[in-house]
Amino acid sequence: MEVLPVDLPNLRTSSSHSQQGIASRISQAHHLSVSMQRGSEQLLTEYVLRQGIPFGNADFNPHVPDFPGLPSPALSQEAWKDLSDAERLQQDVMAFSNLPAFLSAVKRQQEMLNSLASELHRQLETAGMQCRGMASNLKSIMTAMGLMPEPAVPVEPPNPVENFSKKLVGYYVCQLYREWANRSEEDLALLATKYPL
Amino acid sequence: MMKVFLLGLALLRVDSLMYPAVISPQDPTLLIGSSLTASCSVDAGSSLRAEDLYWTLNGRRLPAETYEVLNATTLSVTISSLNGSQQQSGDNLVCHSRDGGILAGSCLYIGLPPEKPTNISCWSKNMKDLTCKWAPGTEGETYLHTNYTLKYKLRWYGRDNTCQQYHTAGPYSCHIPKDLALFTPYEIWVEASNRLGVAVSEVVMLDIVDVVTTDPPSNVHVSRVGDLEDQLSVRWSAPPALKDFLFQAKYQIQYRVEDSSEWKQVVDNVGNQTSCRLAGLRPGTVYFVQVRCNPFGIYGSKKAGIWSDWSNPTAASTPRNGRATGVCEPKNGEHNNTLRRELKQFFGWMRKHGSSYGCANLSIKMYDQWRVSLQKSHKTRNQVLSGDKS
Repeated sequence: MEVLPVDLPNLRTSSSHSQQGIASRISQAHHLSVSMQRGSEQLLTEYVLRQGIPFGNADFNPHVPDFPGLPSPALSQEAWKDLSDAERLQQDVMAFSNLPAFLSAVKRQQEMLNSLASELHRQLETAGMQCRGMASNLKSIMTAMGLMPEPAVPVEPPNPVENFSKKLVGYYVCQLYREWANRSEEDLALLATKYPL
Repeated sequence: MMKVFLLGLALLRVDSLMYPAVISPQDPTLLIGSSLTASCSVDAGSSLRAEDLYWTLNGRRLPAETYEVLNATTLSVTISSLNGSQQQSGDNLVCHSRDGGILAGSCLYIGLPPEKPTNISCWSKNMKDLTCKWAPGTEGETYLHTNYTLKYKLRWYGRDNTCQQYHTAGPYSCHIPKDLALFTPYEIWVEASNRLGVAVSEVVMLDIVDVVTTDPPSNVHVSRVGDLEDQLSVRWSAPPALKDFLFQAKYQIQYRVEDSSEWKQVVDNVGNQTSCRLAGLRPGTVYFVQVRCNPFGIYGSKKAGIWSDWSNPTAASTPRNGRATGVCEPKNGEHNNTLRRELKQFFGWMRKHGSSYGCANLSIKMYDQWRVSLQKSHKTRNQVLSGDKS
């Protein structure tokens, strides 16, 4: 049984109402993460289609680098289990707070590169909005739990000049978005077991 | 300050991880059928050598015979007879390491310059705006994304204006919503441009009043004509937006029976006629009727206007008892010969049979009854002559 690392004043005396409040926010955020998992798969599919082969080939698997402010969420199972709820939430908050800037940069680049791909532009826009929603939900969960979200780190999404580099960067961003959607789903599913409705 | 420095370092590290080699040229634009020689240079600090590299174009490996080792770390490739680009974002020319890893890429834009757009046609809705459409003018494809810009200016003076609202009436169209002048010619043209060049259409000249269209007629009502089983009366109002200007407007009526998809069209009505009697219809049958308007001669224009859309279909049914054939019967005596002849015959008949009616009792009802009896006798004669076609 994990002990929360911060003071939760009056936890024992606070009504089950606030526990229910946290539980329902976690459930809501979890639903959003499931929706984002689906959305991020669709986005990646649409993205690679528009960039042309080799993007989308079964063997197309370039290494996705970390970006400042948007690292890969990949962790070993053990490392993930060792994280506290606060750490998990904080990592998710940082990723979803920064993803909108990256997605928006990709959308701008794709509007030049693939001006006719309006469905792709729309999906990039929607993804950014959902990330903002998720970041806001996660912050409110942290606040309800008596945790203080760390201040946002300023991010500068890469803005390459060459078109192939633009295609690659966009691919990396879509992959990272998908990975973080998957990661947040796992994190929130675990939290939901600790704060059942 | 420290944070910025660290951020800068982090970006540099990301750069060299992401771009371990460089391809030249980057993003070239080429004509279909031309050749390209590109080179891939790996990072000096890398352990890779030119012999370790290979090229693909849109995922297809390029043959080693087309490669040349330029130096220890640079491999070139020559591609001849280039095909048109497969996607708008450009073909992917990629330099790989032996294990298939992507080292660098360059997007190729291969196609043709645009041809002159053609067949520009324009129309104005109620003289308030102008919509134009055109054909792209390229029989095949250019393979490159082509932008179209519609431009217009007043013929005698004024600067070029650029239309802003595209795709309002199909992919090759543009809508100018306001600030148009009447009674003065406009010059209109379309410019097509892509990475390989620009092409400009011929200039079309028009006056807004010569290309006017309008809304369909309003208040279309279809009703029976007394007991007449072969007729329906259609009435409508001039389209509201132009109703005070449509002195010479033409109208067309089309009608069909309920279970047919074939419309029968009735000849144009000219002038201020806003009604028509359909004759020769089948009795006891539901008909759908539509009307449309051409604002011919609006503001003194000598040219035909442009037909409006058809009004929404209005339905009515003929009463059941009779039969016939026919066209729009004129209510007033415009198509005079037929009506006059009929009236003459009618009055003759009146003299013979009308003694029990006073002149004051002469009415359209009697005329209708007479028409019914006339049709009955025509039918008998037609049946004898040509068999029953109803």
